[in-house]
Amino acid sequence: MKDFKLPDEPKITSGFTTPEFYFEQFSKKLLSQIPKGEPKVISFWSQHKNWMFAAAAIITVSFSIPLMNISNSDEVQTTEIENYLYYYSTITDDEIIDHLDESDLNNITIESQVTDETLETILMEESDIEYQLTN
Amino acid sequence: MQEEKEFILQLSDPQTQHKAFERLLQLYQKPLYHHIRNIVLNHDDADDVLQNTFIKVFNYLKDFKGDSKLFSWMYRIATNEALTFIQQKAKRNGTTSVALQSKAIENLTSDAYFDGNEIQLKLQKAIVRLPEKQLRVFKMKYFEELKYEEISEIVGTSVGALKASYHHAVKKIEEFLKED
Repeated sequence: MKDFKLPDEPKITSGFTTPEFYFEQFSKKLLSQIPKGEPKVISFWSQHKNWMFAAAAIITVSFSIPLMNISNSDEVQTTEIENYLYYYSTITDDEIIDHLDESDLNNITIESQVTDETLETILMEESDIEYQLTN
Repeated sequence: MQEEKEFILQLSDPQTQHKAFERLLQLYQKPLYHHIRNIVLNHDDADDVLQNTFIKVFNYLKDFKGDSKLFSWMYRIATNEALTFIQQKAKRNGTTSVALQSKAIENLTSDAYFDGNEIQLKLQKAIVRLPEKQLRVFKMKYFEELKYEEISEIVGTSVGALKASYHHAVKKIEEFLKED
């Protein structure tokens, strides 16, 4: 072959060919391997789970506080209140007695070793007993 | 550039990804196929490599920073996939990539997907004798008709060096063809 100058010659293509409809089928085949692109659904739970955990923790603690208090004896609370009133209150015994009603009187229990005879003797010696009973 | 940025965003967004990728295939499947085919020579091998290339493009899109153009990034993936493919094929056959390619060219007439005439066959036989760099530049410039600037972005060599490589490649091919 004489004086072959490539730039001067008609374009020589590679000679490579492809099967018929190769590229159409290639596209379809490849696109079937690609995700369809549906929007990702993020559940409310997964989006806000940190806040959900915090809220659940707060609610749990809130419920447990009164439960913890209920486990204490009512008697302790009552005793504490009585002690406080005894030492700090300015209310007189007469004022307390004036505010007692029938049910309060029925609930008062007195434990005493004094016999009826001893009691009668004490009352007979009391000079203004008549005054006390009528006022 | 803005158009390409928007296209990349569409390719990354799950809602628009599928349609955007369909467009990407329409734009690049043929040029990338021919680029790969020019390296691996065999159609079935080119088909495998082309699939691997687009799947890698899809998977690596999220890491694509836009430092280079999308096309040059895809061509680099295609080139690496094709070169790795023939290296692995050569290893499996207990030979070298160069020897494998030479043998493939010798048997080109028996390839079902080569319908080249005499001059086309002679040109292929001349090209395979070139040094690797000249061989790659020649195919990209002459067969694929890429611009020097585009080849430069793909292979990372200066335009000046590419022009020199191509010039030397053309001279050698003309000599090889004169020998016949």
